[in-house]
Order: sequence, then structure tokens, then C-alpha cells
Amino acid sequence: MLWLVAFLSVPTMGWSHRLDECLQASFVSVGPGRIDVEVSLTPGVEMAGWILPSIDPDHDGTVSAAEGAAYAERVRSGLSLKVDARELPLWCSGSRFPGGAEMAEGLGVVHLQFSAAVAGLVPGIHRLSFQNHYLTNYSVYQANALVPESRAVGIGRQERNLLQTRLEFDYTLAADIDPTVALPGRSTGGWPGRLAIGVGITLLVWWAFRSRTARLRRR
Amino acid sequence: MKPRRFSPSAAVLAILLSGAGIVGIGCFVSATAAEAAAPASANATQRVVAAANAFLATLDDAGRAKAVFAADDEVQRKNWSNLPTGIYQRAGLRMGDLKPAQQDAAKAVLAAALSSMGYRKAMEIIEAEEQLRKEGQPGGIKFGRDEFYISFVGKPSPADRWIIQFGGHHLALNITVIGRDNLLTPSHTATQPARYVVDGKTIRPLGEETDLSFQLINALDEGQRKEAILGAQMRDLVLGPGQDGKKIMPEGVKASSFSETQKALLLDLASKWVGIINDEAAAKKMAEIKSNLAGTYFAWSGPTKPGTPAYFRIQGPTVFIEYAPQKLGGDPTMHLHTMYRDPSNDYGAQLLKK
Repeated sequence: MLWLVAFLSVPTMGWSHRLDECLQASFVSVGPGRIDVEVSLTPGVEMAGWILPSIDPDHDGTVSAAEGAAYAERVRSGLSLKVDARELPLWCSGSRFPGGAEMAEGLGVVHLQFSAAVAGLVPGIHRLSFQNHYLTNYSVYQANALVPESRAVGIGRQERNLLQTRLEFDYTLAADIDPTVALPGRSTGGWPGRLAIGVGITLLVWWAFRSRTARLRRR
Repeated sequence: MKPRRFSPSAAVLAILLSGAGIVGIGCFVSATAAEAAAPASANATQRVVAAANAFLATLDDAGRAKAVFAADDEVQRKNWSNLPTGIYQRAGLRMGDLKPAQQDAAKAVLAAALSSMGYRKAMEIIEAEEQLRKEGQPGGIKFGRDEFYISFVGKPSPADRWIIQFGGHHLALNITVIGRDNLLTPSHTATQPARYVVDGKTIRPLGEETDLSFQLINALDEGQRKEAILGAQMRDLVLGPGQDGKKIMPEGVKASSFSETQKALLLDLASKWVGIINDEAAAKKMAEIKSNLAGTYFAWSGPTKPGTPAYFRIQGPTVFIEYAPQKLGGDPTMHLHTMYRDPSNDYGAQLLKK
């Protein structure tokens, strides 16, 4: 009931702020073995009246874990993530809902994080396609690739449709994948990775030996 | 607009410190209240610290406790927004609750931290809020010059990091001071209405950047423009308030392909955000952006005819500027949002690592 009271009490800001649209900003982060998609949903004040009750169906003004998971699933069902035309199953890996006061006013931003494992990709160029069709008739969309955290990944030119419900780009996966950002159990990158580690250890030993020799000479 | 006040005591102090032969009396007649708090020879940080302490001295203990937050208060550091009072509640001291002398001292902090152009822009944005207020305030939403808040995250210091937060609807200035460095990122400037008349004079708070952006897009050749224009509608800021710490992939045309004239236009356009901070800090930042120009991109979305609503973005290794007309409640050219960030150094993150 709090939602209804809040919705009815929300003023109409005809000239100032988003009213009957929901801003959905998606950020796609590509790693060697995993892809994350953060979706931030900002419902306009007139949307809040019917979006937010679906997040908090028992109308107690707080979002329980079960309610949050159910809403995330609803959003997830509107998303599609493909690599090389292969659909990747997304799971909700994080969520943050507005605090009690913001929720009571029908305001605030919902942050949802979805993830997908990308197994068995060979080094080279791959095509990623992301689509968001959640609340299609009532949303303003943004979709952007984030700068990869791993140097093993290079993002190509981003292509979108006019409304930004679709984002596509090529990305390059380098042969020497950084093992620190791969999913558990994933290969460390085969012989090039092992060779790099071997060279690193050799250089470290050589540097330590050289330093010790120099110290002895100074004495 | 900028507060101007003659201060005999400051003049005497400045003469003693700077040398009577260097600075003439005429200079002091036009000295701002902020400048009056520190000698003319002081660097930007010294002037800002002096102005901030002068402001705090006008407050009682309760006021100071409300104005100053702990230096490590991460919640308050991120407590800024583009939204008006009634939708978003800021902390700190509300300008409308301050006495006139306290308001002057608060404005003097801004005057010390900002350039004259930056101070004028901030005042014009605030005046636009007065225009909105006069049109009426729906429900619990409050507009107007009283609805701006000032606070410090950390005590004013010439050495340690502290942040001046000044903001309200359509304005969020986060001025980080670390030693001699003064940084303005992240900051949000916006305006609605984007054009209004006061005493017969037309004011456009973001007019220069709007006009320059069209000059730049129309100065590009066909191939460059094709690279610059994104094939999607951009209805809002991508990295607006609440999106701290994100780094999106750069898009658009690379400035390495620009002629000298095009580069000058791009730098001039960027300076409309960079130059909001005081001249000393702005000069340092502009030099940094210039040195990274080859790795800087310019992206555009929308029509290229001057006077039409169009989005643009400048993105380089140490700068991120966005400009997004808002298709909300009428003419998008009358409701503009912008964002200024440094992907490597928002809130002085990079300097803190040193």
C-alpha cells in the first residue's frame, strides 16, 4: 500500500524530469572467461507507481532477498547475450535496490548485475551481441561496453540500433590470457602463459643473483 | 555577479606580503571577498583554504558540525545529484538557511575555488533555478537559489585531501583540494531554462559550449563526421551522477586526425568545463589534456544544425565530458545536462596513490 500512497503523492514535474519512461543503462564488461552486464533502471515518477510494486509485491517498503531475486529474473528474461551467435545463459550475480525512504517515495535506481561464463573460446576475434527488451514500450535505453579490466581483451567498434536495445561489437581474445581474471578451473592460457611465467621467474632469479654479486663486490 | 568588496585590512596585508611595488591599490578595489581572505601572492590552494576557513568562522559550532564531514566519509563524498530538493536530500548547509554575511562567505569560497568564468556559470545556473521557481514548484519539489548546499568533506587543509561540495538542482561542484592541486572532477553542470532574460539581458549559462560544439562538428570533413556520429539516439548522460568509477570504451573520431584548427576548437570546447576551476588549476589540466590529444575522441549524436538538440562527448585518457539535451517536458534545447569527469583521477584518486 505504501507504493500506492507514494505514487499518488508524487508530484508531476512536467518540465523537469523523466515521467513515463524508465531509463535502462546497460554496461557490458568482457573478461577472458566471463561477461558481466550491469543494468541500472531509473523509473520515471509516473512509472514508479507500477514498476516498484512489482519489486516489492508485499508492499512493506523493503525488498527481501526473494523479492529482489524474482524481480531480477523478470529483467533477465528480457535480456539476451550471445557470443559468436551462441546464446549464453545469464545469472543474477548482484543487486542493489533503493533504500527504504527512496522506495517509499517511488524514487531511486535499481542496480542489477548479470553474469555469464564463456567457456572454450579460442584466441582470436569474437562477436558479442547484447539485447535488452525489458519494458520495451516504456523505456529509454543505453548500452555501452566498459574498458576491459584484462589486457587479454580488446574491444572493437560498438554498433547499436537507433534505440540502443541492441549492442554488438567484435572483441579480440589474446592468446596469453591473464589467469588471475579467468573463472576458477579455467586454463591458464596454455604454453604461451606458462612460457611467460617461466621467463619471469628466470629474470627474477637473474636480478637477485646480480644484486648479490654487486653487493659482494662493494664489500 | 561575483561578490566584490573592498577590504582595507586585506589590502594592507597583501601590500606587506606581496610588495607595494608589485600590486597596485586599484587591484584591491576589485578584490573578491575570497581574495581578501588570503594574500594576493598566495597560490590557489592557500586562497581556497583561507576562504573556507573564513566561511567556517562565520558559523557557530552547530553550523560547523553540519558543514564539515570526516575526510574519510565515503557516503558524503558521493552524496551529490542533479535532482532538486524534494526528490534528493543533500547534507551540509542550505544556502537559504544562512545569514547574508554567511552566504557571502560561502560564495567567496566558490569565488576562490573557481575562475571568474566558472563562478559566473555557477551563478547563472543558480539564477535559472530562480526562473524555474517563479514558474511554480509542484508538490514537494523546491527550486531556487535557497536550495543549494555547501559542505566540506575533510577540514580545509593546505596539505591533506578535502573536498568542497556545492550543489543543488542542475549543479554539483565537487572541488577536491590536495596540496597545490585543485580538481573539479566529477562535476555536473546543467540548466533549465537554457536561455532566459534578466533585466533585458539574455543569459545562456551553457551557451558558449553549445555554440562551440556545433562549430566543431561542422568543422569536420565528411569522413571525420562519419566517424564522429554515433548511430544511436543518446537521450541522457551515460556517466552522469551515480556512475562514479566506470570507464566506457571511447567512441567517435580520434583527435589525432584533426587539423590544428579542429584541435584548437576541441580544446576550446573542453575548456568550457576545465576552465570552471581556478585559472592555476585549469592551466595545468588543459596542458595535460593537450598532451593527450592524440588519444582523445569526439563523438556526436543528433542533427548538426546549430540550435538543434544534439548529444556530444569528449573522451581522453584524463578527461570525460558529456553534453545531453533532455527530451523531457518540451524543447530539449532548453534543458541541458552535462558531466565532467577524469577517468583516472576523479576526487583526486590518482594523487592519493602517490
